[in-house]
Amino acid sequence: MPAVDSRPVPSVVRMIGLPKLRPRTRRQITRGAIGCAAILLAWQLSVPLVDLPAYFYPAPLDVIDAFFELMRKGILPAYVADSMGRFAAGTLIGATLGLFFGVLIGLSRTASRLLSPLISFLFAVVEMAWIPLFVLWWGYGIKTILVALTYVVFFPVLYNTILGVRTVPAVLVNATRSLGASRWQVIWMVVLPAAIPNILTGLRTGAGFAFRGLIFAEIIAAKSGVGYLIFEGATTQQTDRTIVGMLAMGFLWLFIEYLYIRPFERATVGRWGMLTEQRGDS
Amino acid sequence: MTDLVQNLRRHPLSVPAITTTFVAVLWLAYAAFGWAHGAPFLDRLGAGPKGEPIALRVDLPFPPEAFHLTYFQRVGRIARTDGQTIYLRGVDRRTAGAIARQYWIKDITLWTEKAS
Repeated sequence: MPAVDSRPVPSVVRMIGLPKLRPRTRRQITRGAIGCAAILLAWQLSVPLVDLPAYFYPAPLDVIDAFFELMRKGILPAYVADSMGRFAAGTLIGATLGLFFGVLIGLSRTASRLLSPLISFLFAVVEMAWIPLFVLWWGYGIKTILVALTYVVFFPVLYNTILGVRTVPAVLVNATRSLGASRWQVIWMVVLPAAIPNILTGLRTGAGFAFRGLIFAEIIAAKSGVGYLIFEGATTQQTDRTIVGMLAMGFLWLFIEYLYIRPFERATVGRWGMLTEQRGDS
Repeated sequence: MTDLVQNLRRHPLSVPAITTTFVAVLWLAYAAFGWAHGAPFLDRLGAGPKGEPIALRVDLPFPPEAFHLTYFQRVGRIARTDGQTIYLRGVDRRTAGAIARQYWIKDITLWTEKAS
């Protein structure tokens, strides 16, 4: 008789390496789900009571119908892909520029004197004021949206990088120089690692601003994207579609924050003891 | 080996890595579905001289919306729409493949203006 393998069969979750949820996290998810379900139920029950037209006050079931209709017609996947592509590209370009100029201004007094007034001036002119001009220059579409998102992300990353670079303890820089490190080695091995908590704060703030800016830019300068869906739904009295767009934005941000930003923070500043997790916030 | 897997799982960046892999697999599955969905239409369209524009009759399972008309305007010139059917001119053969891969397309046939 062949020997029987008595070891327990590994679950799919274990096989693909997903982290097992802690009981506390599981409880929090359950409570969150119950809260959401209660709100949805109250919303659905309130619809016949208030007796308003569906375009004015759609029921959750109308919203679910609109979601499936948008999926069936291929509209929602295309718009989500467009929005996420724009968000990723805009954040990447804005963060790169903000990091470069932040390090430059933070380290060089000359660059600071030359660029600071201009940057302070541009910081005061919000991206919404620029968008009509961007549309004039680059027309409706990807270029205008990318420039607007880059503009939004640039400033938080820039100011936080400057702060991070300028608050690097002088003793660390002096100690490295006294050991014979070159200027580039000091920047690469001391200044940038020490400024990472500030840079990450800037990135997180910039990414959040970019997500909000994306909606505004898509409303004005695009013919696709989740922002456009929200706007188009409102103008064509398809309020259920507007709500689908709003929910999509919310869930996309949750997706980005919980599956990318927070783990990245835990892997860097959290690991180095520079991040304090708030109680009840996990 | 098990230790390596355990360590990778415990690494804080395992969640973004798994998420990215999952999204990539999902995207590949979507692309594969598109290929499978579009293959019969493309077989029916047959091969032709490259670079020569063709005219297509595209059937949708629903009346086209602004999104669909915008899409078709990007891939060709809309001659007219009739209910759930769109007649396109000046479509590149390679672009016809991209149209066929859209899962919301019901049917694609070559269109000759005289016949309709």
